[in-house]
Amino acid sequence: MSLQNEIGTFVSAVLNYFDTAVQQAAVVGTPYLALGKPPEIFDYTGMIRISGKKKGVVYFTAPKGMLSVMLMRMQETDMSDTNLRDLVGEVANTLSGNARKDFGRNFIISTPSVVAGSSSTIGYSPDTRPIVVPIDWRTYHANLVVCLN
Amino acid sequence: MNAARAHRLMIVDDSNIMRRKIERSQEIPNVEIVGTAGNGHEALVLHASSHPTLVTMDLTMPEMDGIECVEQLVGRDPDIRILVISALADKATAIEALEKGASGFLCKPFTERQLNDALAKLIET
Amino acid sequence: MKRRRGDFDLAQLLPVAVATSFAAVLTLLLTFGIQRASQLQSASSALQLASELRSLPQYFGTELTLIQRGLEARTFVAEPITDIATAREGFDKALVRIDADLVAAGLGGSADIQRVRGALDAAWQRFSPLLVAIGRHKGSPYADTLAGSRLNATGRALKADVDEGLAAQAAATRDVGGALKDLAGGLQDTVGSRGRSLRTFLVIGAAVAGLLLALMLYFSLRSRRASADARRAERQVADILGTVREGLFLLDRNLALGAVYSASLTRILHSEIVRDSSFEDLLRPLVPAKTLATAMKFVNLLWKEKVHEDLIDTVNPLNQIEVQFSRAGGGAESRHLSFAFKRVKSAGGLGEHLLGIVTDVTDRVQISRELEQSKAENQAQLDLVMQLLQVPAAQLQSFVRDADMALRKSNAILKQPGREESELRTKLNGVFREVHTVKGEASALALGSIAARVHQLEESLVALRDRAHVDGNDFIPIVVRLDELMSYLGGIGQFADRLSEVQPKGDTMKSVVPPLLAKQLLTTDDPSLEQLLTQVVREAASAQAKRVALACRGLDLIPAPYRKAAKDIAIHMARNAVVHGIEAPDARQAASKPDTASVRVSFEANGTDGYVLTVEDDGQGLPFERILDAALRKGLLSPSDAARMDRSAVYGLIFRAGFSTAEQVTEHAGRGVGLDAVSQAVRELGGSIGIATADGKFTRFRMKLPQPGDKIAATHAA
Repeated sequence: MSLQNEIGTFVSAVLNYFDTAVQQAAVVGTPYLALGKPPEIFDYTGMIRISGKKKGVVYFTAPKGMLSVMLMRMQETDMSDTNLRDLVGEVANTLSGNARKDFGRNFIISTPSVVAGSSSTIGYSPDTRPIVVPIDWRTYHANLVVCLN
Repeated sequence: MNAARAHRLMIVDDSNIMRRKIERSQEIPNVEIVGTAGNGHEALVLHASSHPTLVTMDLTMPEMDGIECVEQLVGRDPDIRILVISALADKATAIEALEKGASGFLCKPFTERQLNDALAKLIET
Repeated sequence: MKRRRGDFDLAQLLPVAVATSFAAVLTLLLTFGIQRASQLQSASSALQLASELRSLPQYFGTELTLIQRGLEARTFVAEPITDIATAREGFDKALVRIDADLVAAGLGGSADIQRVRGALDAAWQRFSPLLVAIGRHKGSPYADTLAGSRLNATGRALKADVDEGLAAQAAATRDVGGALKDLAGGLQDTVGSRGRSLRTFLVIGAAVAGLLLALMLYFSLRSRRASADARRAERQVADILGTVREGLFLLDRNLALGAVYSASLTRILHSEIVRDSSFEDLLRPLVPAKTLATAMKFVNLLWKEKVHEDLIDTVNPLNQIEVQFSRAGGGAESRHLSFAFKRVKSAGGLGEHLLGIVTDVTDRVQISRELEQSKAENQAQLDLVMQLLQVPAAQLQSFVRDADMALRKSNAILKQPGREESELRTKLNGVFREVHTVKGEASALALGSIAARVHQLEESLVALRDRAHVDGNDFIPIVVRLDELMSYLGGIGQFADRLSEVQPKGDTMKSVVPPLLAKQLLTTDDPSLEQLLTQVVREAASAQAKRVALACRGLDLIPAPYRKAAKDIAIHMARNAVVHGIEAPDARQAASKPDTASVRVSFEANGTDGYVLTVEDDGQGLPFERILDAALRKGLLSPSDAARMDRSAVYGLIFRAGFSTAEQVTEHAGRGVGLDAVSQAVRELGGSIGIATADGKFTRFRMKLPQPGDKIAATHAA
């Protein structure tokens, strides 16, 4: 399976999450490479690590405001840190689920993990260029980052 | 089919080289080559005079193509066993020949061993 | 092991047959037993009666004596007379009952019993009439006289009968009692033996019943075990079907799917299996109509006895097919499936089913493709190395730097915000210009392999540009290609760096590379623009089968700030001149022009205003009509706009993004991007472009550039 297909899988997983769970479509911006410095990290980040035939990390990072409004749309009134973490964790979960379904045996996919804080760093192999797929939703801006070698 | 009885093989192919190759390669016991034909018409004439029980049939030939020839031969002798031999450009054409009554298909190019295996299976059909 | 249908039935029937015969024996035994028991009961009843009767003769004697004494004492004697009559009738009835019991006890034919019974009857018949006579005397037996009561005639008759009775009583008691005793004795024996035989019957019956029970238990256990075996087998089949990776299914003669199939089938086909659905329905969404029709014909061939299944493997149209499955979140996924079909044979011919096997061979196909690809890549690598060796290291390094810069600029364009369709298209054009420039430089250095790689990215961009609608998702292949290209160029950069380390005093290279190549490798300076242009023009001309002479002037005077831009512009324009400006050789001949065309590139000061870069060819001139047509066709302007445009405005169209008049897309030109890249570069430098052309004679582009200090655009400082 090519990198192109893999990114496609992750992007459609995220879009599908917005369509179904949040019930309001998100828009994909033009993807680009993170050159030089690591891609921007927002307040909450849900990620999965991948090993096996390909190695790397895939994460969805979003600002607090966006996640809060998503929660609201999901009829959730509690905007606590726990719930915001849960939400990005959920998105990471769908990434993991789709990856398992589409890539199968060639990949070993970690259980999703969540980090909070925009100053966090997410480790990835220095010889890969992360591909950043901007996800726009309402006035907010999140990133899906795929970093596989 | 009775194994002890001799099988009579007719080779139909417009290519001289192919005809000779099949003649040379054929080494199944009890199979006797009764003649070769270069097109469909010749094949029908030869069939009338030598009553073959087995046929190897090229599909693309001048005058009368293989499919029509298969149909005519089967019309004359429903028990005749025909192995269609062709370079497989179009599977649908091969399937058509089988629908018309051929028993098997061998893809060109083939090895001697593949030909003999196919003929052996043709006999046991 | 083969098992015929008959064997199987017999095995099933055996317990039933055995149980039935046992039950019949048991019923027979019980019938006998019941009969014996009722005979025994009758015999016992007869025995009891006989025993009871034995006291009766004694009783008659007592009663007769009572009458006799009564008569003497002249007392009332009617009561004993009645008692005698009652007892006598009782005796008669008892005898009848005994006879009935004897018959019921099956002793009606027993000689011994009948003899004894005869003796009893005879004795009783001798005595009974005497008793009857006594009963006949009615009325008082006495006559009252003055002297007291005395017997009257009745009394005297009665007395006579009583006396006679008493006289016979002893004999009767002996005979009747003896007969009864014998009868009772016989019956006693009979009851004893009958009782024993009944016990025997009952024992046998119990034994048979026990045996039957045991048998039933055995059969029921065996059938339990058999059904447990069947269940286990069923479970094992289910385990197999649940586990195999292949999709297994059965097809009947109507090509309808069987009820049993492997769990993988739904996974492989990405769809639920509807009960009784046909194979055709299952396949329809996956393959084109033509393949579907051929496939159904093929599967039907397997039902023809005359067709040998091994001899038609090669014509299976479903042998390896590429199918598209739509993905949940939109988009489609392509998989490779392989279907195989086997006849399920039964004794003596074709069975009821075909076994279908479907496997997802995507991985296998992928691997073989990757293998082919890596083979091709190895070849490309070799080609690349040969090409790289022909370019001086410094020149290569500079190319890689420029290319990397262009790709980074492309990435920066992608990174810009903007999600609207028009913005996306602007991004597309921007990336296109950058990429096209890289391709141009690669061709200029005769780095065909690199140019081909960049060309691929360009192809993706073109494919996207030709789409009616684009969104962010569509850029994924672009960014992936961009990433690959950066890695690729990174590798070449490393190679160039290493090459530059070994080259400077590289006499050693001479021994392994041809002298001409070695001379180039030893050149550490950047090649002059003139050298580059010579290369570009030679390449383009040979690809187009044209003969072109290049003349350059003043190119070494270009001030440093303009060197990069002027190089890019000159390369584009010179290639364009060869491809678009110069006619094909026969057209030149027809126009009586020299066979060898001429392209001139010059750079000179433009008074004190700056500089002018001129690129000129002696070709066909700018084709006014074709430019207008192409612009209309591409929708760059409306027919009403076209009517209002003057000649120079029309010529200006060739600098618009997306314009190209070349019919065929080649690596050399015809993408319609070269000129708009030039125009952009010139604008960024604060310059302008002037065009002069004459039909069939020449085309001249004059790029006017200001003094470098006036406006230095940070074109390539991304």
